[in-house]
Amino acid sequence: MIKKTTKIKKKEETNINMRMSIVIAFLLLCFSVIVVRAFAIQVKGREFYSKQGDMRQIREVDLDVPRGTIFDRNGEPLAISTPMVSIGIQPAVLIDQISRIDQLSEALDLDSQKLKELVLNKKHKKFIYIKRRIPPYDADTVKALNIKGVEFRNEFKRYYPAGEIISQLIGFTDADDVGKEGIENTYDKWLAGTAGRKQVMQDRFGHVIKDIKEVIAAEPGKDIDLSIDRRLQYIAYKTLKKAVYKHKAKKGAAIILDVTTGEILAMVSQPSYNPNNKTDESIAGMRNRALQDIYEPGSVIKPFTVIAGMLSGEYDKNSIIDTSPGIFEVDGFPIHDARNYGKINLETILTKSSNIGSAKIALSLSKNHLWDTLNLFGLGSSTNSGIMGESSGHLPDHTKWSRSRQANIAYGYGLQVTTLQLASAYAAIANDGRWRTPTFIKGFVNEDKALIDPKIANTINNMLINVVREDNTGKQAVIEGYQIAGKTGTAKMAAKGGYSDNYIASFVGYAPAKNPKLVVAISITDPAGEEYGGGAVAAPVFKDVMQNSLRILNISPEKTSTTITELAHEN
Amino acid sequence: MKFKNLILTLTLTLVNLVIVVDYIYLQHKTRNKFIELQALLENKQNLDADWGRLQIQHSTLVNNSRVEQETKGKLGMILPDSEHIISIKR
Repeated sequence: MIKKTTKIKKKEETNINMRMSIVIAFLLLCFSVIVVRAFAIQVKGREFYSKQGDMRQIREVDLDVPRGTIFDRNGEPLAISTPMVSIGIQPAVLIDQISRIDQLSEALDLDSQKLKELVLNKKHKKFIYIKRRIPPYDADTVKALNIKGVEFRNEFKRYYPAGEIISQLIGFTDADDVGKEGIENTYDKWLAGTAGRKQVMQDRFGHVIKDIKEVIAAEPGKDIDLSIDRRLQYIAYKTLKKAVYKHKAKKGAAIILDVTTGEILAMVSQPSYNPNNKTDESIAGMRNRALQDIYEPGSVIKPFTVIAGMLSGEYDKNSIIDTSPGIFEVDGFPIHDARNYGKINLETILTKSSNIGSAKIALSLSKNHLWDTLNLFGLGSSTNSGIMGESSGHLPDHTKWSRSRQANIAYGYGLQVTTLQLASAYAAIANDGRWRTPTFIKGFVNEDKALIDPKIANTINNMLINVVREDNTGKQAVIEGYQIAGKTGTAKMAAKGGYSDNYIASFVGYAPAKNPKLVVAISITDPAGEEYGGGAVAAPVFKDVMQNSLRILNISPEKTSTTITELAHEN
Repeated sequence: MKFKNLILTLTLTLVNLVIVVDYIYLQHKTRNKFIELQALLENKQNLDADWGRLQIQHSTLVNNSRVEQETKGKLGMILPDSEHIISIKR
């Protein structure tokens, strides 16, 4: 028995030992598999896995920056960006929850049927905007629905508080917030700033939990202070619009320029449009007539012909020119005056607006000299005001002038200018013969340069004061209490093979004439009513705009009916 | 000697532990602060939106044509002629 048991015991022992070795060997094998696998993952596959991990955790996000605000000179906003939310969908995700589209379309006030079709038709698209730029609190209601596949992106909406009164100058931005036209276009880079990018870590719910690094530094758009005064802009706009309507004109432009600094205080165009609500009809209103339209200006050029005469030394204020019998032929082309003015001096050429007188001065000068004088005042070349799209106009080279062209140019035909060029040229007369590049930016005053002897400028100034008198062409520009200097212009519009019976009426002038502060230039194209002349159509607009501007800017009258001095002491 | 070594090891282990715990605590604090920052940024954005809206509202209210209508229509104000204007010079 005993023997038997020991035998069995021995057998069991060897059995156990073997089993143990098998188990241990198995465990070792398992362990080594784990070690190998761990090595493969942690050492060899490290890069791959950490990248995979990062892909799930680390994201690059855009940092949107607001576009800068455009202010007028008194800090009134003319273009503001406000944060808005744009809503888009991922059709592939939304297609599984068709039933929820009704909720979505109701919250967004969209046609549910159309939205469903969109999802079905564009199911391969990754992302489609369904509503852009809605106020954040409206977006919150959609967010609360918590629908998968609906995405929210922050964008900005551009709003133009002044609307149509300044739309051409300010311009507008497109759907991607890029400036088109006007100031928005010219200063796009400055206004737009730089959108940034940063790397962030997200948790599994998609919440950002950590900033990792800035990839591109965000730089918000910078503001612009324009030289425009919104109050004057409004006055000019309203007055011009009324006149264009009253005279059934096609278009019009007006400019108010600060003589002492060259700052443009107002620039308006007709027709206009509302930049906050653009339609197909808006396109006609988008052209900046004061800056982009060029035309033959007519008699407003005459002062520069007279200046050319005086600069040549052949003429002074006492020179007499014979304009009788009221018709004068140059190379077979007749030049007319309104009537026979007989022998007149330079001042009368301007006050009566004699074409013959101007033509005779021009013909007595060299072509070269006349060209030089007109060019000196920037007529027919861009003022370099810095706004994109400014037209340069055209002053043909004097070597190509015929004799009749030379005579025509003297009274404003055969050259093309913009209203801004006229305003700047008159500002130079008003500013003692010193010309300054006009500017749209507040406080950005360009250096002025002397064009002519101040004495000549002063003589012309006195002549222009007499134009605006009860018995002369500019009588409708008279403003009580102030001395006004200016010149009317009535130009026939060029048409095929000659000139049509349509006119451009203009008036350019400044005040107070003895210490000029403001230049106002008005041009009204193709007035179809009974009146068409610069004196009847443009001068009253000048008067209204100038009178109100002087009042708003507190430029006191030189002569008033009642003056109380030192009232302060009596109190 | 052996005892000293043991003490040193224990101390270093303890220091290590303290550092690790502190690191975890700081990480936690950083996350909390970051969440706070995110909330503030969101708040700022909302305030910006409000500010923009108020600016627009303001400029609508002071719109020149509206002011003109209110003064002429509601308040019955007029622009005086030059004969009714008295200029005061100091």
